[in-house]
Amino acid sequence: MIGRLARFALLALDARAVPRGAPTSRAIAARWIAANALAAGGVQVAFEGPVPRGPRVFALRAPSFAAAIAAVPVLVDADTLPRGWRLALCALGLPLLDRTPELALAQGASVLSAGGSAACALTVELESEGYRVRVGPPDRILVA
Amino acid sequence: MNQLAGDDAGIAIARLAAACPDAVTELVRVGDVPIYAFELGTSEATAPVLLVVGGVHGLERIGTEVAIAFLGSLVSRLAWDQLLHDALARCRIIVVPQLNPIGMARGQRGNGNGVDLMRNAPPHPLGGTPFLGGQRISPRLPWYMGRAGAPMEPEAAALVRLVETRVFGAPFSIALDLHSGYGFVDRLWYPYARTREPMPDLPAIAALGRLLDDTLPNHVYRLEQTAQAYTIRGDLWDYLYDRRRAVNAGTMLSLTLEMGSWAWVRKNPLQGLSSLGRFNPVKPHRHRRTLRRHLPLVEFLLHAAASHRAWMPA
Repeated sequence: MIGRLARFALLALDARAVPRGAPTSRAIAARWIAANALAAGGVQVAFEGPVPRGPRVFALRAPSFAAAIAAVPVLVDADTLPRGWRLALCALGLPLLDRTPELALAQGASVLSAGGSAACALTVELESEGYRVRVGPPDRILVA
Repeated sequence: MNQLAGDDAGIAIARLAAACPDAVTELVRVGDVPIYAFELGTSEATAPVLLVVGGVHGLERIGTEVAIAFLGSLVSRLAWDQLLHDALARCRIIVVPQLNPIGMARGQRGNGNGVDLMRNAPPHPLGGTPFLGGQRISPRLPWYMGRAGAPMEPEAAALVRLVETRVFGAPFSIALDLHSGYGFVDRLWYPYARTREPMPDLPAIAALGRLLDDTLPNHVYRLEQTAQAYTIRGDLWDYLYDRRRAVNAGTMLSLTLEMGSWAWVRKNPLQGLSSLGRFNPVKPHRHRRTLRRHLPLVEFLLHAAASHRAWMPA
């Protein structure tokens, strides 16, 4: 338990040193931090299919935000998150959406929203050793 | 101290070079000091390769001594061991016992320019725990990566050249880099160092781990990712691993043996007062034990490389 806490503390330190600036860089940094957080917890993430190209809004209703962020570089719209998640992601040092989703999209970054509708959904399935993430239409969203 | 000083290691290496002059190559000369590579076995470019590297960090003399002990054992067995000759007809062993002779002679971690050779590769844009994972503040501080944009240090560049020319052509290779200075147990670290995300060859590493458990059931090693605790920028083995994957479809498993030197300090706390004592066994019996302790592992890796088709996952 202490070892795991130490790993997360060091990851939070790493996260604050990850270069960020433009929304696309922030999204790449967010993916790296989320992937490292899951790996530090011993959770594997598999991504199925091609990584979608170009900025878009993803919808996610499954509770495993980290797996979705670890699979695709996205900026999370913090306003759509429960308060506990917002605090956890901030503590981890994960870059969140710091402008309007429209502006981030115009600047080339994808946005992940926890509620509402979107043309694209990140489907997260729970497996024995981790998560499987795939891009699909909103009606295929599964709760992990 | 019983351990070899930097000069003594140089003398031991020169003796081995004299004993097998056909096997030795001068990789590079740093100042007046040569860095040697010993190559034994078939010259067939497609043969599996075991690469053993020691003395990347000048303070960690025990790594060089283990490499010399392995090399000395090989050279003496060449005179009589037919089984070894049979193995060498099918594979190749390359040993670089002392990559950082200047740092070792000065008793410092970095090379003559104060650069930490293990953080000197072109860095990936992401990853790297602040300071500990590599810093560009000053060569007087540990973990110095070198100036941004500067070419790699001659020692690191020589190792990269060696791996690119002599190892990349092999369909399968294992690299073992010998270090000390972290933890109470001996660890075998595999890439990546820059991220905690799994390496693409994780199934091969898992298979090698199972093979090690089955072959040496009472071994002392803990197999884990280098970035288990903190992440490193410019890690040489990350760089070579990624380069290897970009070049062709073969496999190179790079392992770092991190000898748990804290256990030596716990048993003999006074040695913690000296910089060398924190990284090397000081008591003569412990020093001898360390030199013989890791030879079965290197031998195992040689056999695993030579017979990789029998255990590597498809």
